Amino acid sequence: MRLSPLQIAQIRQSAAESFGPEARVWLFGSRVDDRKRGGDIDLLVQTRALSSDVALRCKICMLGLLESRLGEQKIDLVIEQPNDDRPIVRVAHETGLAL
Amino acid sequence: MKQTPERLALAHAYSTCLGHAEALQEALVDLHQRDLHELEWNKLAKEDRRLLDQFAYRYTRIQDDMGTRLMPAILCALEEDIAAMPVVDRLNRLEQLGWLPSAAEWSELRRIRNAFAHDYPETPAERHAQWRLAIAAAEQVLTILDGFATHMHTVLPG
Repeated sequence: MRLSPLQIAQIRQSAAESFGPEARVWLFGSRVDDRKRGGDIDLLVQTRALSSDVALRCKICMLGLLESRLGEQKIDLVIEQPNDDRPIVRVAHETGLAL
Repeated sequence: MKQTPERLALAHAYSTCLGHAEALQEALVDLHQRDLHELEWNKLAKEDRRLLDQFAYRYTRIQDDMGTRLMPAILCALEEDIAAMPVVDRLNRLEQLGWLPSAAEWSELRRIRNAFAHDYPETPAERHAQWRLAIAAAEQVLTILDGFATHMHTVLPG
């Protein structure tokens, strides 16, 4: 995984502050692969059931916290709610790593 | 007040943003009248798609032009040296000078705009939420541009 321990801690803290302490985070995409370089940070955040409005607000909040902590870089955030059967969610769990 | 290249550039950027603002305001009035229901996002009528396209185009353009053209032009007209200044420092300087109510608010508006432009929500409820947030953000952007008007006479010849 191409994230430093500090970056991982900052990501987990940002998720907890935005979505609550029960939120869990997975890293997926190219950053999981140690042989690659650079690239976006693809994250999946698993949350409790939230309304669409609240989920979007929380996502914007987390992106802001990540920007202030990790600096300005491309971060893609997928929000997974209970019973979310989208392919992107399945792929993130199958190929990603829990932070 | 003497005309300078910096003031000419500012006048042009400001005029462009005012044009976007007028069209965006029209779209907002129509959107509020239309008041699309969550379920209607499943199948939009042609007129609704046109209205949403007008909103989306003007909303993203006004924010981009304010951030990348108007704000730098304001600072240049105020004879600020911004060549090596990171974006966040430019926003903080505009806040310090009293032009921008909050640099942090503008940064959040930019994140909302980026999410609006790049994300493709799958469900009607998510699409509805995204549009509601973008509409509220667009209204904030227009308020910020209105605030610039009260300062513009200090840097532009009348």
